Amino acid sequence: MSILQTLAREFAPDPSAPLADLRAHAYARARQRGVPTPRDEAWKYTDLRGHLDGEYVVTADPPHGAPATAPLLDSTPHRLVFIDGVLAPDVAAPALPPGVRLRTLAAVLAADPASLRALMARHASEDADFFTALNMACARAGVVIELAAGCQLETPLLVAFLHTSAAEQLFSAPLVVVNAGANSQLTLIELHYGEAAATNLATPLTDLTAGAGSVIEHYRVQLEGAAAVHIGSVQATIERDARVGSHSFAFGGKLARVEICAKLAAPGASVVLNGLFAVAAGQHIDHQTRIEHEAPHTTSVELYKGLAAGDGRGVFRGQIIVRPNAQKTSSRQASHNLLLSPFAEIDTKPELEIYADDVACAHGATVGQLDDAALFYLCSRGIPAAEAHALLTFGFTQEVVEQVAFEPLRRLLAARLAGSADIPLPERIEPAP
Amino acid sequence: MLSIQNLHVEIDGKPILRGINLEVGAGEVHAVMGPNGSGKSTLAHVLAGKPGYLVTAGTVTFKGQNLLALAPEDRAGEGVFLAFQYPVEIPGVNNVYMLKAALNGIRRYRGLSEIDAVEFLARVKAKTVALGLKEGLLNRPVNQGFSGGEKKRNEIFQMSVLEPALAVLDETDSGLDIDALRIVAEGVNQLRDAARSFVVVTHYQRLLDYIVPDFVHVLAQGQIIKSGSRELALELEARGYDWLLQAVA
Repeated sequence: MSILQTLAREFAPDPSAPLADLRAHAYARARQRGVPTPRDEAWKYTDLRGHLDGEYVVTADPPHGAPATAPLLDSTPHRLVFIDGVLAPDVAAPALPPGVRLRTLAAVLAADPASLRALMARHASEDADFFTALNMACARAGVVIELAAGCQLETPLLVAFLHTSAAEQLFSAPLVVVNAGANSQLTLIELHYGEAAATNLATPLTDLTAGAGSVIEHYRVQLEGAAAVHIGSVQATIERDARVGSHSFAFGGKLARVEICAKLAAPGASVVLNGLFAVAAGQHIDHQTRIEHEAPHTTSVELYKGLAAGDGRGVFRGQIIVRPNAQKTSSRQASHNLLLSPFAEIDTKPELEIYADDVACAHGATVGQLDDAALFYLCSRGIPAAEAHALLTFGFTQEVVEQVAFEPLRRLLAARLAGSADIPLPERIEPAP
Repeated sequence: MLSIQNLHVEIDGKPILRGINLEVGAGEVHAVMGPNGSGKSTLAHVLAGKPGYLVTAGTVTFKGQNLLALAPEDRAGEGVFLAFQYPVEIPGVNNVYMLKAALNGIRRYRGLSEIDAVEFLARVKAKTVALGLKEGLLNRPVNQGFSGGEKKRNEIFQMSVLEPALAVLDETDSGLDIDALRIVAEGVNQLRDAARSFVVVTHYQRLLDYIVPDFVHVLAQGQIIKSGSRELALELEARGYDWLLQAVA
């Protein structure tokens, strides 16, 4: 049994369903593409064989309550929570300010499916890869967020996809769509969380459109269970003078991957890509980022940090493409990685394709171990060796974590890092004031 | 307090220290001087337990214990402190957090409970003022973005908070202007008492105008070739090292 066989059974196209033509098209596209193999350049370091062979179902029966351990749910009043792919009934969020429209995907499909046509057509086009097409064919859980011009939402919005340790192996393809109007502002936290024993497969897709002058801060927090497979994607289009901050934190899953693509479509557009991943024994986490400078005077700043312990494996591939007319582009990329065990592996691969001549691009990538001089310095002060290791590892992550403005999320990241048995970190973190 | 006998040390098979003998009593300040490459910094590093050095002969006894058998953190627990010539920058680790971890590490080693947070902050505050350290530096990552002088001051600040029994200062004066030198020396002098000892490694006599030593030793080619009082340092300042090296040769 494989994911495609499951699909053939579960997703027999229903001609009366909304957007059935596009669903069928996307489904055909996925079948045609087939599951990627390491022969595909983008999948060179991530082998899916054996990871998509579950007896998947698309709804857990009976539905479960929210896992008691799920983090962040109480830290923001504006939230939408899906449990095993089903909208949790206890959403009692206070009214959103005028100008913010938050609808579930199901509601949009029922009332206003035409509004999704362009998006679906785009993601099921000839260029669409297997998992994007798969998401377009199957997406049920999801949310569409629209901000009117000038609307600024002060508090972060949380969209959580929680997975319980249901007996069935759940497949879900969540879809998150954000349309930020001109000069609007939004902080979105997208949480993927699984209980320890959850064995689900998730293939989420996030589509962000930052209208002229808007600001979207997107925090993607991947805390799937240790046996889960998670293959996600974020596609951002950034218009004139708009800014997107993409922060990806990935700690969960036995095999996890995120592809983040940012298109800087008009002058003045900028993107910040931050990422932090930590792999422990038995884990494989892959980040693929792609920044496309399509217009002049566009800016990108990227910093990814990785920790690998046990026999864990991390992958980072950072593509930066500067189109011929994208003069005065400024682009900085850094990928720094720390191996905490002799059996751990991290592959990092910057890829710059620059077709314009008046640009400032810099990149750097390192894979190393804890600095012996720093370890000795700490020990010479009286700090036991194990604690010195923990402090330095923690310190290594801070450059990324410090950029998280939302305090509860910063605390969660510190706690999660400290909670990994393989990755020694201080038991108590006192955040810098 | 500290007794070094016939200490031989190699790095990568190359002999650096070739039979050091040094006795440091409680409350004494010993200056170790010498030309570049004489082994001064090696001596300081070996006392603190820096990895990469091979002791091929000799003993180092501290308060009756074999110091060489202890891990660096345990030496700190026993009361040894090294002020680094080149303090290490540690991104992402807050200066005060590091210091608290150090103090509590030392206290646990001694079987004491962890320090009360209020008491700790009061102690830190007092030392900050005494050493003219900008308070902003306290909550910055350890040594990151510090000027040369600020790094050295931070070393002396850490020393004054940790209150060691034996402080080894490795070229603490290098790279300091005269005002910073005075402040650093004042920090050391404030800690001088009948129980606390210092080994001050320096290339220049200048520091010893401010930290007046009880004994001066000249290290050359891995051995102490002459010991004397403070006047020896002044003589070295006036005449350089060459006459001494020739006299020994």
